Amino acid sequence: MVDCENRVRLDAYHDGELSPAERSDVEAHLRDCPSCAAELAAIRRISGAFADTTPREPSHEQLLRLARSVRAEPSDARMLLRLFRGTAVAAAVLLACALAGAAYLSQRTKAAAHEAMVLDHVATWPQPAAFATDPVSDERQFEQQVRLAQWIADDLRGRQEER
Amino acid sequence: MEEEELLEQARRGENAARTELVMRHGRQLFGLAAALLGGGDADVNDVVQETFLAAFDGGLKAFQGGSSLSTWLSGVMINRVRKLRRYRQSRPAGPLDGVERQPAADDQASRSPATQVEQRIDVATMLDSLPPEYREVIVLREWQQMSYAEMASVLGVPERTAETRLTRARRMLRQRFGGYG
Repeated sequence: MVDCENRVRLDAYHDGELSPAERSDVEAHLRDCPSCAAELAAIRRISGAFADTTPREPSHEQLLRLARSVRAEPSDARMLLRLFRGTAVAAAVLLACALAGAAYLSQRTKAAAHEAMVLDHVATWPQPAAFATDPVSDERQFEQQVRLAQWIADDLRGRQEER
Repeated sequence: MEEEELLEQARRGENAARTELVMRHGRQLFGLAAALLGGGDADVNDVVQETFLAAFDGGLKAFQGGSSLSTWLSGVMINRVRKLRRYRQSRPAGPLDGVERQPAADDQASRSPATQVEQRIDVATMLDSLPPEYREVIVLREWQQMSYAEMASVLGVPERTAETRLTRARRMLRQRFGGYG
């Protein structure tokens, strides 16, 4: 057998891969070589073990699921999807800008209202006469500030004495 | 309709052609993937799906018509299986690796169910004992009934290499599973 195996293509013979002439040669050899005949019988048994079973098979539902999973998106649907995606992105950008603008305006409005409220409140304070004058030079402004400080101090002193 | 034309339509995105091809070849490819991979359905389903998608996306070397579409798809699948096997080797074994096969198919109903399962487990054990390149030739020859030329085409090797691998694979099985040899 060891001498035969490299030149006798028993597997090819078993699998029907030889030409008619090659088959005849192998058959002639098998008649005179019990070792190769036993080898061929062993090949047939191994092959038979596989022939007696079948590979796993998918259920019909599995095949249908498989068919669905490899479907192509229709070209119209693909175009609509692309259009929708483009529109959605543009809409998202516009919405983001609008929200940012609204937030900014709202903040500005609140700040302006607050400022107006403070100014209104300040307007109700008693105005010293020195403040009523129109714009003046720095020196005159300093003088007015001194007079204002003096006025406040006098006023506080007067209130103290009243108590 | 000619399969070449069906594949062309499938590549243009015609779903009727895609479904037709899946119904014609899905069963055979599923069996091939299950036999080559072992393990659970998840990987098998993924590999079969990837095979069809790869065939439909047109990016592969075009189907020439020199072999049958079935053989060509098997070649596409073998490449996917090899890729997955390399991925599996690069990570720790998962819970699905080496899971036992499912019960036998309907056309085996004439045999005793217990015997079928026993034989199937024996065959699964035999396949699991083989290195990948020997497992491939056994599955292609014994279950897919491919000729040596088809095996060579699917595996991307010379015909004589396919034959030598088959001879060695059967010899390994005889040595390891004396009951069959």
